Amino acid sequence: MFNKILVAIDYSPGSKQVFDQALSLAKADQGNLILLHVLSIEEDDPAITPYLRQRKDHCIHVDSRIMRRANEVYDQEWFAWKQQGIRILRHFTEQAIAGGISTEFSQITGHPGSTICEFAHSCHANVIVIGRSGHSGLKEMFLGSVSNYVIHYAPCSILLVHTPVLKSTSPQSIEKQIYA
Amino acid sequence: MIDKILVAADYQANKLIFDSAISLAKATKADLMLLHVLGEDEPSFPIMLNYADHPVLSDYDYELYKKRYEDYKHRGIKFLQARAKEARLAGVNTEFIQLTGNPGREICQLASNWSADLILVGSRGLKGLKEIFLGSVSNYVTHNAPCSVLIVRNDSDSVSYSLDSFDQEEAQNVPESPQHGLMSNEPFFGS
Repeated sequence: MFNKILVAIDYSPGSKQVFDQALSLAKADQGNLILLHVLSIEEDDPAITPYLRQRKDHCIHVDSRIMRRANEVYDQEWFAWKQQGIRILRHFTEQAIAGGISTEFSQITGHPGSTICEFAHSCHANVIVIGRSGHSGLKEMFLGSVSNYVIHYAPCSILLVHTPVLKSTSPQSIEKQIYA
Repeated sequence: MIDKILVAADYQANKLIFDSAISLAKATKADLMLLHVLGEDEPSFPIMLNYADHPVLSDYDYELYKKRYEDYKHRGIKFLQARAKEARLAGVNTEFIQLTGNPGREICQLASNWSADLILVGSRGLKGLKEIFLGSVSNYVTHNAPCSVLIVRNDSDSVSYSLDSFDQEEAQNVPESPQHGLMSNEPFFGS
């Protein structure tokens, strides 16, 4: 029924639950998993350093040395952030393959909602598994809701995994929960 | 992981929903609960005849409405029974229930009362203005559900149960159909 399962992963503690549900779905139907992490500065992602957020684009300065140095730092931060995402993807991929599910992963830069939908379309996914953080009301309006975008624009079925927002999440505790 | 699956079913529900519910329940050894909500949003919901300038309800109209409502309810139960039978044949432990009220709210409430792990809903696929005015059950459920939600989207080539085909199926299976000869040949507004 659901042979190709696209799993939208991000750097949040809920990703673990999302992945677990996707894995059980894949085991139930003997499906393939495709893990996707979307890199987007606009996201509410604790892994994004303040430096990256401040310089949404590269630094522009009159002094070329300062500019070069700043851009080097920017690239380093960006690279580190990318690596973090890939590490999570690797971790989950290994776990799924150990469970006997054929799995691939991919990391794309772009607007999360539209990127997920486009990717689902191009890889002919049967179902998208995505977490729902449970922001509601004003918070949802301002923060924007990736899952809401995906619900309205996805070309296929969607499994929304309920992942309540946990208060006061430090990067360490998130790491612990993801790699638990 | 998934032990209890709630399936929100109505007449327009796609066959895909039941197929995926059954296969999912079979694979995860989960219990199924089929829910049909009697709501005014459903196209087959009977309409009460009343007149703006003449607010008195005639007995005939009321009887007609009651009969139609009973018929509508009865059909819903028949529909649920048929789907539950299918699921039981596939070896899935299945219950069904029929409730009255706002579909979105009833679905979420039952999910929390029954402590469901997963809700399966279809998507009518309304977009933009249509969605704003007609309301979207799946949208309500996704924003208020206490658990995970699987939205099953209609593919263009999949089969859906239409009321007519359901009636034919019923006619073959059940010899005695409910008596509604009263209005079957009469125009609806011809009192």
